[in-house]
Amino acid sequence: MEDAFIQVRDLVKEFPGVKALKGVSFDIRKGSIHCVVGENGAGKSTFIKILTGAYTKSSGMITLDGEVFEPKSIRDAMNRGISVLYQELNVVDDLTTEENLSLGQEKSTLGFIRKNENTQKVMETIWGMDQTIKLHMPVYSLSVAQKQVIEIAKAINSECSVLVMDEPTASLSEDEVRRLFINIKKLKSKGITIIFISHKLSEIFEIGDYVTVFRDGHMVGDREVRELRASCGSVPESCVELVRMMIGKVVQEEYVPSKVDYSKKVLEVRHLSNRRLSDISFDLYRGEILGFYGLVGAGKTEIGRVLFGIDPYDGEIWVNGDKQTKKGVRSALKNGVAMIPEERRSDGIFSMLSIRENIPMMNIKTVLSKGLISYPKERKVADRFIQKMSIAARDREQSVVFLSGGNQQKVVIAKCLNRESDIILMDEPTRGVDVGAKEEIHNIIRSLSKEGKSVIVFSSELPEVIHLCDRIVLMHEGRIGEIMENRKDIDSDHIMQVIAGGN
Amino acid sequence: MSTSMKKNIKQFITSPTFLLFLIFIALNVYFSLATNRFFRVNNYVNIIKQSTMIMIVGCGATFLMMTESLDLSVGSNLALTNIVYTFLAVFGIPFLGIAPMPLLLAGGIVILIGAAIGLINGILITRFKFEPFIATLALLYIGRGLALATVDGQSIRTGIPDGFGSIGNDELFGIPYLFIIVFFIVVSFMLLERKSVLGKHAVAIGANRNAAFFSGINVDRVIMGLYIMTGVLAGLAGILTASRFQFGDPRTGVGFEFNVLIAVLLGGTPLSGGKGTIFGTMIGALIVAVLGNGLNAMDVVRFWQTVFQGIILIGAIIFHSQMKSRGRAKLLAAGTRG
Repeated sequence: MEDAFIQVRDLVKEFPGVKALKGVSFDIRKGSIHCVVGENGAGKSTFIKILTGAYTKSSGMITLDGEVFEPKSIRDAMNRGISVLYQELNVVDDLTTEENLSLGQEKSTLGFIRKNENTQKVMETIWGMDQTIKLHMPVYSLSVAQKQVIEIAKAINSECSVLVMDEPTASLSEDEVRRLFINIKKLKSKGITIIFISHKLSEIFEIGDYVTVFRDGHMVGDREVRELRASCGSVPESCVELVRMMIGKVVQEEYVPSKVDYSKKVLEVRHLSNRRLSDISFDLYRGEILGFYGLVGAGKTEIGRVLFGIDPYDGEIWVNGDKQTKKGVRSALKNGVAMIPEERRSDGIFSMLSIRENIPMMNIKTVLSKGLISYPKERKVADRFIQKMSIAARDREQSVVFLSGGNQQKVVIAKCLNRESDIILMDEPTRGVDVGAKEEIHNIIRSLSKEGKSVIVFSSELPEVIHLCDRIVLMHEGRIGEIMENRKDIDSDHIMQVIAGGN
Repeated sequence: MSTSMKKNIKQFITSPTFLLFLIFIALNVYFSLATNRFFRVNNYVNIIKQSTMIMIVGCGATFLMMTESLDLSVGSNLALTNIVYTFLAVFGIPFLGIAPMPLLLAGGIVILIGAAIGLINGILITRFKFEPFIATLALLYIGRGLALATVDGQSIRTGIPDGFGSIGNDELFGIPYLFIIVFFIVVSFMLLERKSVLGKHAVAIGANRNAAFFSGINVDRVIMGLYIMTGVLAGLAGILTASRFQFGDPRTGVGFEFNVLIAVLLGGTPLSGGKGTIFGTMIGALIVAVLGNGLNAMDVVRFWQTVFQGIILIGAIIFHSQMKSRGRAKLLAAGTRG
């Protein structure tokens, strides 16, 4: 491509044990809005980090404006004109707008800060985007969108030619998103190249010129948005082609229907809404494995958090025919709802404690004898689960931190199963575990359903839900798109259409 | 069986607590050689008596620190309960026309005061989300101020009723009551540490507060309970100090909170929580007492003793962090499994 401003050629990044980028090549044109999409772990953030100097590449090449570009640090990349607008904004809440603008570049006489001429220039840029921001406002009084404006203005005034925006709309309201897009278009008209990372396909069609799709460390698609829109027909948001590129080919393997007892409704959810969810209604039956599937940010985790009593909600939840009135994790557990959290390390395991100490933590009663902790009982409980779930460990006294990801996850599941709950919520039960452990965990889930327990699996992996689940709830931006029965010949194209927001 | 016993023994003699115990022995040997006033039965009785208050309050403080909390108000709590206990026993409550109280009743009231201070700490920290440092610092000031205000800054030395000094000085079959009380408390706390739901939950909270929350552990209630427990122990220590010295003093226990903190830290419970043992704290308390006593016996001026305490604290923290990084390196070398 002649007018390629950034050229990426055979870019590879290896971490010990994993290849995050497996030889990626594509071009970014000057003055375009170039979208980068992909599911978690696809490699897009690794790419961005190499571009902005946070990581160094393993091999391959990037050129910037015709010259080889190998930034040594973030500062180095900035000096070459590449700025990043991070999801976590880099403003200091307790300082004023003015102080934030000159942060790190204060000019002083005898240690006292002098007025910075540059500030006036940045303020003019800010006013070009949002007139309500004043010089002496403390930044904590501004909204996220306004803070973003400050950061964008800073980037422009540092004379950047490329601005990378990492999911800039993640915490904005619809109105704020619209204003952000107007500003992005202004930047484009000034000749600034925008690299725009988003999970929301609708935004790509609204603002993007080009889109590059990452999957499993490969570049699997590089298209002009206009052309893509033409091939998608009347509902550009539900572009199956794009979703298929992101998710890849899905092969239906061996889905075995569970013995669901449709006469026993264990969970009934009606018109659940909160900040992230709107009008969620579904049922769960005894012995059923129910899957929730959608792209990142579709609201899967949020449903789990509501059902487990963590987040507030409007609407009704009925467990075994009783309407839930009390909120909170403890009452959820008491009513027989247990959850395996998404973040294993931070929310699941007690990493420095042994397997024996970890497993009974959710239900300490199982190891009590006359009101006191009984070591023999702890041993018995631990050994039973180590055997049942084939946890690979030196012995039950090994600290959980030294187990592999898959075995740590088994400990978390064991901890939850020891609670003997009837409804088990599993948020990304196999994230970050190897293939073998994944299969084992799936078998554990199947055997739970055989025992008459009901399981809800929240997953962003399509193969997982279609191998495992009896019914699949498809989510799109906080809403349920469709609830479908699983069968051997399930139509994965249709699934992709629904999670992309189509009908 | 014998191999596992060997393993256990090996594990024990390389554990930080055991090495700390060796340091304790070394200090004893040193002072015994340095001065002939140290190594005597009478002196050891003294040393243990000097460490009893730290041991009693240290039991609660260890649990608190396991959960990443701490209590700076124990010294003031001790002073307030000390002076109120003496006041109630000597004067009763004059403005309500209540006559001097029997010791048991006065003791009961004072234990409730100790518990109340713990309760306030707990409410500030769990309900109003205060940092433990700030909440208990405030109570340090309030408690000390109340202690001084109660008696206008004066100590109570006259009119002490008969039997007031009994529990702090008398003996049962040649064993001081004080020792029996400490023994009883320490053993119950060791039991609590290993065998109780509260102990398990405290460890869980310290090890990973989020995971504890997701496991349905009532984090706030556990922390509240531990503060009340520590407050009660400080109240008990207030009664025992009043009895031991047979007078009430609103200026007692200044800096006591830091002696407790040092003992707990020496014993291997870090400020960041997640682990710790009552046994370690007891050794820590003994080290603090032996150091004070031994330096006294060597006629080292009191000011210098404070300097040595600081140095011992630095040494202990370096020691524990070394042990930790060594332990981790060893475990990592043993390999993470695929």
